[in-house]
Amino acid sequence: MNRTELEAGIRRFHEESFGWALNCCDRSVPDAEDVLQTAYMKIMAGRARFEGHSKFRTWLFGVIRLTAREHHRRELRQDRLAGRTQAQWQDRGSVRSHAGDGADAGIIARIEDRERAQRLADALERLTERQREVLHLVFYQDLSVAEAAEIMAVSIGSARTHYDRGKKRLKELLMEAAKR
Amino acid sequence: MTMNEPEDTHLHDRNVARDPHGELAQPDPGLTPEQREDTADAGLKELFTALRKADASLTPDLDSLLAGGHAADECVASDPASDTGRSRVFSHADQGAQHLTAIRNARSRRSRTGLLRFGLPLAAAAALVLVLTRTGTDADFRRAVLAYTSSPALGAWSSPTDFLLHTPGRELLTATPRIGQTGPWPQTPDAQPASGDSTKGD
Repeated sequence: MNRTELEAGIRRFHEESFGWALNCCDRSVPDAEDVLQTAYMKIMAGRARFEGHSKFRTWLFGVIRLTAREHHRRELRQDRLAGRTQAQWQDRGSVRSHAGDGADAGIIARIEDRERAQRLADALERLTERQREVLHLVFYQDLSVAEAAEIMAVSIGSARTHYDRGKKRLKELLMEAAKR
Repeated sequence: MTMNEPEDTHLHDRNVARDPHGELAQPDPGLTPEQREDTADAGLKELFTALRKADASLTPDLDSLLAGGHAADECVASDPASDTGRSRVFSHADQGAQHLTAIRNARSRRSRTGLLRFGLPLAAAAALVLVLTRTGTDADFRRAVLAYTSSPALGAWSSPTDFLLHTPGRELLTATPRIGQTGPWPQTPDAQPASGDSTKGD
């Protein structure tokens, strides 16, 4: 793929990519923007190459996922170098979480069912990373479990297990929330 | 329900069981387990759709994102020290990490270069010394043997207890009798002359 085709592919899936980046960054909007920008730069600079072994979106999501992991590791390393204590790290995490919540809430207020979206986001936070990923890819991105497995770099069997367990747990959490 | 991809990915038109607040409600008890499962999945799908709509409004503009990325690349390429926004917060840490890595690499390089620069000549010198020392020892030994065998003083030396070997009748052992010859046998130079009494008796 040449540069124009790559840019067209990125443009086509930009909204979905941002949703995926949000999921990979614990729903932190600034982090998702950073990750998305870095991933796009990687692709445009040829540091991540599409070989045509899978669908473009599957590959793009894989690049975003890896970039998010690198971003997370870099943040951890920077925190260690800066000598942040565990307590400071937890504070920072909560600030980031609140910032994300605030950003989400500001936008969700514009839509009719903001509470549902918020409760789903809260419930998703209580799932494991793999469960969150596979449920996001299947329900949010309308991908198959096989495609989700490819993006997550796990076997289909493993993805199915995460999917079933995650769905069950998510339903329980949402039921609990509904009873309150 | 077993995972059926087409069903899982096309849940939009299902009849969703929701309470007035939009949460997943307890399914109708008259439904079969499969129907309950499908209803619950459809409810999840609705919730994810709501989340997706919320996220859509947060999506940053692609052009500004790409432009920002290019600008950041150019900025870093031209002047790595200049950076703006939240990236700057960690830029010092990044520089620190790069500095540490550079120091480690330099140390490693130095140790390798030092090994090559000093280690090899040292090894060569040690080998040369060993060879020369070994040759010198052989030559000394040969010189000592030569001196021992050729020195008159050392060749004429005799043990202080050598006289103990001069026993009586030793000349009989050292002289050779001749056929037809009577009289005293030729004596060795250090043999004592025979006494007159013994001659008379013959």
